[in-house]
Amino acid sequence: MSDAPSLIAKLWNYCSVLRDDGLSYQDYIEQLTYLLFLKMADELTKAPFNRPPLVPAGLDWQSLLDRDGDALEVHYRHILAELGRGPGTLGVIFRKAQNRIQDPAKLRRLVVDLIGQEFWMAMDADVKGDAYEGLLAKNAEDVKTGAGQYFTPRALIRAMVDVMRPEPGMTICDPACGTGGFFLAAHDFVARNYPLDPDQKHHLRFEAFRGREIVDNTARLCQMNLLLHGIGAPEVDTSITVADSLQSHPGEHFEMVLTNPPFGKKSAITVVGIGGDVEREDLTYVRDDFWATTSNKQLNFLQHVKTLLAINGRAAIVVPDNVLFEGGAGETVRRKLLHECDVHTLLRLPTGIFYAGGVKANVLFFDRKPASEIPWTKKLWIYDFRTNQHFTLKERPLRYEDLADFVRAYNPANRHARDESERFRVLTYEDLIARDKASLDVFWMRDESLEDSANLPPPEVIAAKIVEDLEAALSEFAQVAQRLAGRGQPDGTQNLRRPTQT
Amino acid sequence: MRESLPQGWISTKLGELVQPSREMVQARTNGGPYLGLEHIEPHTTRITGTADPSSIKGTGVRFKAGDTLYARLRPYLNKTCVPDFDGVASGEFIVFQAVEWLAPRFLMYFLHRPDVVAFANAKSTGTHRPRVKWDDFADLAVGLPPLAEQRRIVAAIEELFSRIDAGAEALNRVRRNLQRMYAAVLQAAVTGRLVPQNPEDEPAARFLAEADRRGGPYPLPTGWLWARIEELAEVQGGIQKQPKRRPGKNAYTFLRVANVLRRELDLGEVHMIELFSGELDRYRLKAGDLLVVEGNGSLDQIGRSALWQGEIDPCVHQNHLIRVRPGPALSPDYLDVFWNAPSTAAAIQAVASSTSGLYTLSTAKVRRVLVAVPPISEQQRINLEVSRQLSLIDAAERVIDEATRRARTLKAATLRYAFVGRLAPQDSSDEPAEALLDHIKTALLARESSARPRQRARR
Repeated sequence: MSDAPSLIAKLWNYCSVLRDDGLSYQDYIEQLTYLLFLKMADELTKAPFNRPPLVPAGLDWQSLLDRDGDALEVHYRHILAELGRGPGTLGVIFRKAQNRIQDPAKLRRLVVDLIGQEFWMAMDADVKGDAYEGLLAKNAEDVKTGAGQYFTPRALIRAMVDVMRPEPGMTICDPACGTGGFFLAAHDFVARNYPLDPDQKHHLRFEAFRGREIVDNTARLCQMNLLLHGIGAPEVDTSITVADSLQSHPGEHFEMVLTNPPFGKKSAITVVGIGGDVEREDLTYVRDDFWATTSNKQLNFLQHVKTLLAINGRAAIVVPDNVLFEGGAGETVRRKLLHECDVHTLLRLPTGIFYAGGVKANVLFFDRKPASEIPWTKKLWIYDFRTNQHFTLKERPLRYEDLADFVRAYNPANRHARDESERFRVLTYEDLIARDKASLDVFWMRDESLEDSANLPPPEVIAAKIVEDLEAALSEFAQVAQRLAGRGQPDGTQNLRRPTQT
Repeated sequence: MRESLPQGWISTKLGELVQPSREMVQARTNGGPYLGLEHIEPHTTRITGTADPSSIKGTGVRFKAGDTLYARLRPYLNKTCVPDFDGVASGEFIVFQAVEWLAPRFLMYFLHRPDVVAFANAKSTGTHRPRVKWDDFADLAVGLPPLAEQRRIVAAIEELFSRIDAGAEALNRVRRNLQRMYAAVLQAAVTGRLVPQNPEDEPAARFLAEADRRGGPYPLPTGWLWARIEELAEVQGGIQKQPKRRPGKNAYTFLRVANVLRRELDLGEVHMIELFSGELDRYRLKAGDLLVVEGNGSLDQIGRSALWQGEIDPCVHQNHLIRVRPGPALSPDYLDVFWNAPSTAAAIQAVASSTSGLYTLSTAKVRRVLVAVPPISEQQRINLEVSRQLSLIDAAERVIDEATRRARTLKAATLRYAFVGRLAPQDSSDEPAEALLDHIKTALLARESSARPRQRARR
């Protein structure tokens, strides 16, 4: 049985072999996922598990081992197509699955030498989990594919979970779960900090997490990621649903929501095709449980998250800057949120930490409260972790230690006993609603990079800032342009999505 | 091109929707802050401040929170706003009371439209203090949407305006950073951090009489050394303008301080000066000379310089321009780069200051300036790289300027679209604007008749 480092090395070695065939990290992880699942399902039918088969005979792992050459490749494609039709976990893993490995010899090596050599069900969750996560992280770095938007930096996730402090028995929802990072961190937090009785362990493994992900391929990676980390089981129905969260309310409420909704396509300049192609971003969701109707996806996710919470439920959501300052619907949503919920903490994130370039993001923490005439938000604590912070994905990546001061200042043990500091300031409800458009886009620290000081940073540092600001400007103008283009019809019609009538 | 009105809209005139309120009161006693023209920012609908009413003599127009204020004076400044407090406004404002058939800020954005601003400007009269009258406005055509749609239009405008503002602000930061980048490139160039050193270059010491290990303000890479200008270049003052110098039989073109800007020359206007025997050779400019302004007393003009490329020949220069002619150890382009680097500018300022508080250079001071001298081949590489990077910065600056201009057009386009119903969606379940008409008529009539006893209906 391999240990973590040698397994990771093996997996990556095979990856480079296949990259020469033109497979991207994304393709590779996808194929690994299918084969892993088949192998794991196979192990479950044998000792010591001896479960009834999950995968129909003739479409299972053994049927792959029995074949070679072109017959293997043809059969593999057949398996992928067939299993994708099924329901449950099988369906999530194999929906719209496609083979990308053209060379049957390499496929056979993958089957026999790589996947076939290990006993995955018996393997330590840390080992296989870390290996898979490692591949996901590498995939995210490959910015061309845009896979990065589904991968929230793990240091940030850990910090968010450490301040949110999930408890045993809680059900946690992520309406844009990506590759499942928040679930893994929450699972880890509960398992590490609490002694769990058998019922609690069962709950943590099978009932604690509910995720939605709109992209089939990402959902399957999430499902496999969870399985490898010991969450759920291949034969148990999945807790990941492939769906558009914003379409309608799922019908249940949660005590905790942790999420990083997608920030939209990297190519922000997308032309709304003449007569065709309406981008998802153009869709406006009309829901009775929303405060404002808008095509701004992130504003909609914020509204949606609030509806997901049970009374006194708690949420932490990553939002881009425009959610904090945008006028119109944005102002309406902020004023309503401040009134109906206790919006208590805002973390301004630095640039250079996400895999999608130029993103200016924040984490908003709020609790849902019962209906009341008196506004629930009394104080908003803002932690400025952006001004004078310089991170890059390669040279200076974000580590958990960088967020340690935030976690300490947040004071999760008692968030009502906090102290102000250079980076941590409090504003009252009255301060906030008096601001123009109730904007939460607050900074007070002096940006050293804009000072005309005698100590100029080297040109490449300034150039990086210029690129950041240009990307920010580009993003804003592109959104505006898209809005103006999308409403170009003379009769003013555009796509309004209403919840489907039943 | 006339577009048909969207469904649910009606065509009306501004005068049928609103009437100015001319409730004149004593600013001092009325209570509430005073708004003068200077408190409204042009083109942005922002209120930048208020005045203490106790300091205001005379009367003003009373307004309440939610009323729309429009400045009649200089309408091209596009000053309109909706205060969220009660108070008194200068008589230069027209105050429109809030009415139930217009959504908050709908009227404000309407008046903010570029075509309405142009209309008001065209109608304004008075050369020194152009003003527009309400009567001119009253006939202005308005497409009135249903009330619910008016709210959606305002929300859409504010959403897009806030994004455009954010984008424009980001562009401003870029502009500032481009300037800093420019300085940083020069600074990197003169500290050996712009291009790599090549150990096979002939070290700078090769060309200098004394290869002494002179110290300088910062550490240098291998092959570089510090040297004073006098070791590297010939420094020469210019010709003093005197009555005997009036152009006569032996007149030549000469450069004045006004011809030397920061890093460029302005040869639009060049004068002539009389020279005497032997002087031409002494004062004649050659391509590669650096012309440094001696100074006029103020700090920010110190060290202003430009490179002479031989644009006019023969040409001499006046005494307030110091001519620095590099020798073989120093390339003129590198001297130009070095002279403009932030650390050099600081050093020159320090040298130029005097006890009287004025700032001047002299040929003596210039001779003693310390230069960080790279090997000559490295100087060439530096020059090429600086030139390349500065051209990129220039190009970027032009793009930013263009983008900023377009951002303004974007706001205009947003307003245009908004008011023809192409920004916010129509909804057939809205109560059509027509239903508002009867309500408007009765309400306006009621207002007029109740207003009459208090004041004479004035136009």
